[in-house]
Amino acid sequence: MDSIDKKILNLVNTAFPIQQRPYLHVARKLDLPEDEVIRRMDALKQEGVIRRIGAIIDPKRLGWYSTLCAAEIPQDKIEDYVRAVNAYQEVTHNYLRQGSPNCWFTLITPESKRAEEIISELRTALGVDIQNLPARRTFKIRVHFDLE
Amino acid sequence: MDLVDTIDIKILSLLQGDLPITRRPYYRLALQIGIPEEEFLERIVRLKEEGVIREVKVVLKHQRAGFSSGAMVAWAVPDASLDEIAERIALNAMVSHCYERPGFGNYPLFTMIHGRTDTEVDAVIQEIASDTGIHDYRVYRTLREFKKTSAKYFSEGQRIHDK
Repeated sequence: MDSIDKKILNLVNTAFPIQQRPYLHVARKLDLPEDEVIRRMDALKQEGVIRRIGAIIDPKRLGWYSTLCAAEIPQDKIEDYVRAVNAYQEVTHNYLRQGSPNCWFTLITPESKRAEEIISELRTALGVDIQNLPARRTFKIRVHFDLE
Repeated sequence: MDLVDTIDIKILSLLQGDLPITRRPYYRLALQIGIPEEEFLERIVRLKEEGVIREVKVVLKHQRAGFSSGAMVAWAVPDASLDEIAERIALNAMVSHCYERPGFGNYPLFTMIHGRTDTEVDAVIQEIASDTGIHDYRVYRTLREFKKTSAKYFSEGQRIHDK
């Protein structure tokens, strides 16, 4: 990643233009040829710096339920935990964290009932308590990395 | 649901995936569902105005982008000052997420912080603590990512559930 790559990513990880020629729009802002922006972004995608280009959808606006769950999993049970939790397509994020509880995952489901069902299945399968911590209010969601 | 019709659902199901890196990516996707590019773009703008789409953006793999340290921090904020403190913390550019999550002991305010190094993340936590006067907090540093995907709200041809 060089300084031009960083300039491009700084622009597009805030917002990708909703225009006929989005790459041309980015290119003009940075005084670069459109094809160079395309070539560089393609390379950044190949290298895995870019995960995807697309829409961030608000589950709540669609009437969906989302929540954060936490569990304390002993070291020797982590593998079982990962296998069991990751098997659900409704699980979008799953992390091992320092501190207690040590395992945290997020669920997005069409209704809360389905999330409760999954949590209860996991409690039984893993024999541990799982805390369900849905957000009451969202104050901020803005994932932006300042690369420069 | 009134917010989205069947064409919107087709658009959302394409945009929850990946836009092609080509001169006219929206044109290519519009062709796939058989509507004019202009309508495709207008609908995205409308879905954004309605808040169904939060943002169209490039999602980075932050470890690869140089942001290899992250921590979730839960803060012991009293009910009476929760709004004020949450809004204050949300202003910090290093904080990507800020939620009220009741039920986690005395720690209802959850934040996600990203940085280049653990030291940088620690400095942000210290800064927030001294700025807000909240010195009781729990740090859950990210050790390993077991899974990270986008939610699949729509599969091809599927209607969203009726509320």
